[in-house]
Amino acid sequence: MSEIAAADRGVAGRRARRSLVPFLLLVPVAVLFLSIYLPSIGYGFAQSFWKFAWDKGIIREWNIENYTSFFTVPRNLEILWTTLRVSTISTAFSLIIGYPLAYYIAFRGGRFRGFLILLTIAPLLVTVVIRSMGWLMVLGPGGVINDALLEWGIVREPVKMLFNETAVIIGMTHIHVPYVTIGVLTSLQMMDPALMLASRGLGATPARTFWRIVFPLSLPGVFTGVIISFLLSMTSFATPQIMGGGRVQVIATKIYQEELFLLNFPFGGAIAFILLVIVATITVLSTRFVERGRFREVFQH
Amino acid sequence: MQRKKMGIPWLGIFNVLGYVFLLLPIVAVLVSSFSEMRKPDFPPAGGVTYKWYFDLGRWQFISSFWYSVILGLLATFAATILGTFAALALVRYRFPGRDAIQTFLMTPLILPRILIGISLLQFYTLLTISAGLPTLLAGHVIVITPYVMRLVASSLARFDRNLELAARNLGANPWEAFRRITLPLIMPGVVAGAAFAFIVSFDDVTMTIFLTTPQIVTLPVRILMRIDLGLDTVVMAAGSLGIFVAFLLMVFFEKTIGIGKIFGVQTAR
Repeated sequence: MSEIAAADRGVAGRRARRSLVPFLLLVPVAVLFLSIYLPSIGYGFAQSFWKFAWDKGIIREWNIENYTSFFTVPRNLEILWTTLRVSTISTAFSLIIGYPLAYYIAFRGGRFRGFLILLTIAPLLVTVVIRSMGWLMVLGPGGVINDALLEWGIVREPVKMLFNETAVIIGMTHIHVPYVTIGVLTSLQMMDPALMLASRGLGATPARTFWRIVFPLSLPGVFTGVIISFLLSMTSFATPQIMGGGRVQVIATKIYQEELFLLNFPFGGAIAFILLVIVATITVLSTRFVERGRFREVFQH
Repeated sequence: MQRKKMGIPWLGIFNVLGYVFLLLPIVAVLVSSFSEMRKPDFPPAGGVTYKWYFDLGRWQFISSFWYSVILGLLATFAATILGTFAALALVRYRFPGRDAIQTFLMTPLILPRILIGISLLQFYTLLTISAGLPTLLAGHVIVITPYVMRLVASSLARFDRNLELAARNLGANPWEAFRRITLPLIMPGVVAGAAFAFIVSFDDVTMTIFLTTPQIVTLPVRILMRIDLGLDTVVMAAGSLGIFVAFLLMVFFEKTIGIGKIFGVQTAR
């Protein structure tokens, strides 16, 4: 034992003498990040303060017009509002669908546990574009839902369910349910099942046991899942592009349009940095909330 | 409310519906790709055929598919090396600026992918570098390296240092101790990181769409561009190709590290 301790001291001593090893290990990633990543983001940021004219292209005149116009033009504010609304609603639905799945896997899964986890994660391996395309088939005029509605005589004409906000919300919910389920499941797995038995044994109803014991203990997972789902919704591009069919404009699709169709790099960049500020604020606030907020005791488990 | 007491398994029913919701669109792509009609239909009203799969090449879906696979493998290979090295440096050593470096290297996870995409596009335009495999590869490696770093770092943090010290004490040199003891023990983390990295690379549209040329396009971007032109059963066949890749990945992960590992879920209690 003392020999190992001595070796430990020896290694620690050598490390204290400023080893070159960590710097050598960081060289490859540093080369890539400092030669391409950092200058790109820096240049993109600088360019978001330049001007753009249809006839002259990008003009290197510093101004903050791109930022102010985003917040003063009603159409742009509407896009921001749509993005927030769609993200909030789809996150709520992800939780409503994703939580029971996690609960079932954790407590009722039995020998199907592994299989159910596989079923939950499998959709994550399929490209988002393909999954959203699948919804075009399900909700489209010849899709299974319209077929059923027509068959049962509920409607006479196929219902138009695509290319509107509802379709975007359905598509986003579908993408984010697995994240919520995984988040909640991670929390539920750390819970001691004996707590539930104790609660029931002391006479609490199943509902009371759930709301007083299980749900509070799963809050960290709920929180993680909700934050991931919301952030992914705020920045998602492919799903609104496909499910909205150009008729629902969110921040990401607006940036895409500005950059690739109108070639207004400065304005597209400005919107992207506004999106970054929103996303970063949520990330920082949520981390603070987790660390110091009222969930603190729960997180220490 | 009354019926609840009679023992209808509401939770079970709700969960079956939940899984139908999760899997329906994927099944829809697979099934409708066999529809005989030019305009895809789910479930197919007419006959069933696999002829659209022969049209994949004509629509350049096959070349896009291979482009995606090669790009994903190259990016994953590079990111795994870069990310593992960085994780080793950041977890194992204490040096000035360590926290700042770590935060900086993790920023691609916080930055919206679309911001990285347009920034790279603008930077390449400034340097008059034309779009191609190297420029796209650089973007993908930047975006996926943090995933590798995070998963390798967490398996390094759980690793018992004494094992390595014992090896050193028994006469192994640092490299030998690393290769024989440390590397095998953190391997699940490295594989999980690489797996996650490949999935993200293969899936990405938001950044990739800004870095491709009309000629050379990854599979998801090609599909997205085709959907904009209107639905066609050939596009469903191309989607099935992507689902096939997902299936292969699933089998591979399940056989190697267990699929839950990638997402940090224990599959068995």
